[in-house]
Amino acid sequence: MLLTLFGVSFLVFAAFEIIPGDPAISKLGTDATPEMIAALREQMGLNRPFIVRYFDWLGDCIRGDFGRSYSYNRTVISMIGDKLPITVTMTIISMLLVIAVSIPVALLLAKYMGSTIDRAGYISNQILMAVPSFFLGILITYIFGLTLRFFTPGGYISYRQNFAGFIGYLLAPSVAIAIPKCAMSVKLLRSAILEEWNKDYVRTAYSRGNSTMQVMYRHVLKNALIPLITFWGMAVADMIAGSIVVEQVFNIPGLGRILLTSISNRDYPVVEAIILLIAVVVIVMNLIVDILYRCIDPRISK
Amino acid sequence: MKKGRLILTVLLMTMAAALSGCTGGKTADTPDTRITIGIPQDLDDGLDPHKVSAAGTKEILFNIYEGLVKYDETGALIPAVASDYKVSEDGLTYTFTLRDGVKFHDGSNVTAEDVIYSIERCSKAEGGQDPLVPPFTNISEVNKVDDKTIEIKLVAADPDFLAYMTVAIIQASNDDPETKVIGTGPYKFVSHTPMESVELEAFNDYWGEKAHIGKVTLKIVSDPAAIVMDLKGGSLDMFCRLTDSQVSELKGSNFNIEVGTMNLAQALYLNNSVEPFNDVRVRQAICYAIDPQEIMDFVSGGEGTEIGSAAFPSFSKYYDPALNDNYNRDVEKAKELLKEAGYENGFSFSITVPSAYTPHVKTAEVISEELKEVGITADLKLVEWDSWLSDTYTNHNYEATVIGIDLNPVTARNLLQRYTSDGHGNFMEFSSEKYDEVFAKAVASTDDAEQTALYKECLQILSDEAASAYIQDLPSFVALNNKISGYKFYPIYAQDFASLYYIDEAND
Repeated sequence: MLLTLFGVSFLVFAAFEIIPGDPAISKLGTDATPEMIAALREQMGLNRPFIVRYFDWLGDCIRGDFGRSYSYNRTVISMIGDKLPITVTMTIISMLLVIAVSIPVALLLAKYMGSTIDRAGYISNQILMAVPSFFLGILITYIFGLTLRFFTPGGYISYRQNFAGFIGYLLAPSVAIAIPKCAMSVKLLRSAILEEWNKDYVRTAYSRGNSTMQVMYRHVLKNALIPLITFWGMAVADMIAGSIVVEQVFNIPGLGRILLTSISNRDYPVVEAIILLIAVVVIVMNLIVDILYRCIDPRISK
Repeated sequence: MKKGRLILTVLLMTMAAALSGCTGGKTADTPDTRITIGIPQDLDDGLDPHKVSAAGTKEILFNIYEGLVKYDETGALIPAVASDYKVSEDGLTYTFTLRDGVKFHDGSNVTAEDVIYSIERCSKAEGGQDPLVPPFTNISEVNKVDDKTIEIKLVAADPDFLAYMTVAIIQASNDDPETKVIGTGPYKFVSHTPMESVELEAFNDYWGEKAHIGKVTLKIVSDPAAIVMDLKGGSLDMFCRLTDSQVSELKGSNFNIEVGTMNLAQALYLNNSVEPFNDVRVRQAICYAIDPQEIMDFVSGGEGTEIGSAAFPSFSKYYDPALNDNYNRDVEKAKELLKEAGYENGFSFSITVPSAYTPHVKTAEVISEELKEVGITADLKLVEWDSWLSDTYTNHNYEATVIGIDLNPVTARNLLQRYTSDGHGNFMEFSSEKYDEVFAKAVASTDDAEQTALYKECLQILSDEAASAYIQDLPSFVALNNKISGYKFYPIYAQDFASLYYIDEAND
């Protein structure tokens, strides 16, 4: 696990070594004289060799010091700390939507297997799965924002200002993020339910006098959810990374905004910290999925 | 499975309710006192008025800070913190009288000490580095004559000196201008949320005509695709420097489009030190091959003003329309020149363009087509702004590029020093002994008429030598909510929020 983080951090560091652009020139703009650039490079510590800089930075990170942003007069931690709640809230809302919508829909489709409802569901599922979130975002903005006026496009409200308004604005982008994942979940869950439904224990459960309802909720659904947990775990990590594009569409100043701005400003400390953060999220989600497995299915821990 | 269906219905209902609930946020603001303006990038180079470099930051600080003098919309310098000034006969001593009743945003009066501190902060050369305002090396001393009078002595006379007195006046007690944003302008700074927004508020004790709109929110909209949506959706009241296609998308909406000029010299800048552009005949051939009118038609629906040298039209003292006809499109002539230079079969090169600047990219596309007709192949190389800045602008590692060069302060010296052989920012690597000579003479001259003539000669040389293929001053499109009026275009990078007003308010 640590090795993964180490690898990721090194790759990011090395990538910035290779791509063109210089943080000092970027900050000083067109008026810069060579002396000013040299002085700023020295101040940023960019004149030291690559390997020295990398290990210095790594050492600081381990001590919990991610350094200061080149462009803003602030620490990287406070900058990310400001924006992280936005992206996290959006991810949580999307995830709740995925869970809340996909389970009932999958149950419905499984129940009416082979019927018109099932086929219609299958087709719409395939379509929704294929549409990228940012495009849904644009559609939602046009339909619900510009035509129906349910929300003001670009009218983002800061969570410090008005928390309810903040959640309200995040709903539309969360829906855009949730829909493809939701379609995927429905597809997975529907087939898992059908598979479980044909297993022997279902007959046993019936013979013990359970109703269809009881069999479905107590036994089948519980087992069918196991493969889905893996998917959801990865979906969370994917949503955080995917929010970068959706945030642009809805003009939300979250993690995506800060990442894009920092890349174009060559604000390396910020970019490196964000990428590390995303890597940590992926690793932690995997861990959580493993733990959840054990909770749902006691057989795995044995 | 009835229960399942029920859950679904309930969920959909809550979702719908929650979505429609978002409308609530819109009513919070009273429209008559606030304006929300979209800006494409954050003020990420800081807020210290003496240190900022980005044009986008400077044009906003224009509302917060003022100098002893400041620019008006015609490009003339008008007294601001100073109410009056006198220049001695020899041009070496400037005497400024401070205006009565000028207050800083925290309520304190502007004193002679504050003015001296501000000027000295910018003229101090630390550790062998250039001062914050490099031309301030020309200042020999700054004296306080009395509480209301400041005297500035120069090493050498410079008719352009007054333009540098637009430098922001800050408090002498301000030890950290980066965070203590206190000036004397019509708007005071309230807050800055990085990558999100900037809040300004009208300053009630402003010495001049007070701002009409109480609160200004500058909102960062980094995605160009979101701009039109946000304007139409009502979350933005104004956006500057729209592209031609964004303007046409806004047709029929409740936005007025104001058309001005960008005040820059857009050109196909050529690296004069690389083959084949080190041959003046090749550069001239390229000038003959390019038709600015065709570019303007394609890029901005015919808007824009042709230029024939480095000066743009609003810089009227030096702009000479006659230079526009120095190279009218002439394919035969271009081919002839290429033949003379030994490129009978043409050649190929690449045009480096920062990809985020649509007008420059489109311009490069037209140029590429036009050059084909004379047998030259030009490939477009789209790069990110930061790569452009370091590779093209700083390290001169390019063949040709399309970009616009703006000017602040608006002085001929500032415009033309770039083209001297060792000039700062001479990324064209233009080098002409004759030019250097005329420029040096112009700088040394103290007679305005003579100096103007010499600077004009410099512009003539740039055109004759085809330092680059000059094209146009781009049009600037500003979308403004039709309830608001009063937008003013400035010949420098400035956005004057104080002149904006709601139309109803003015009728009262």
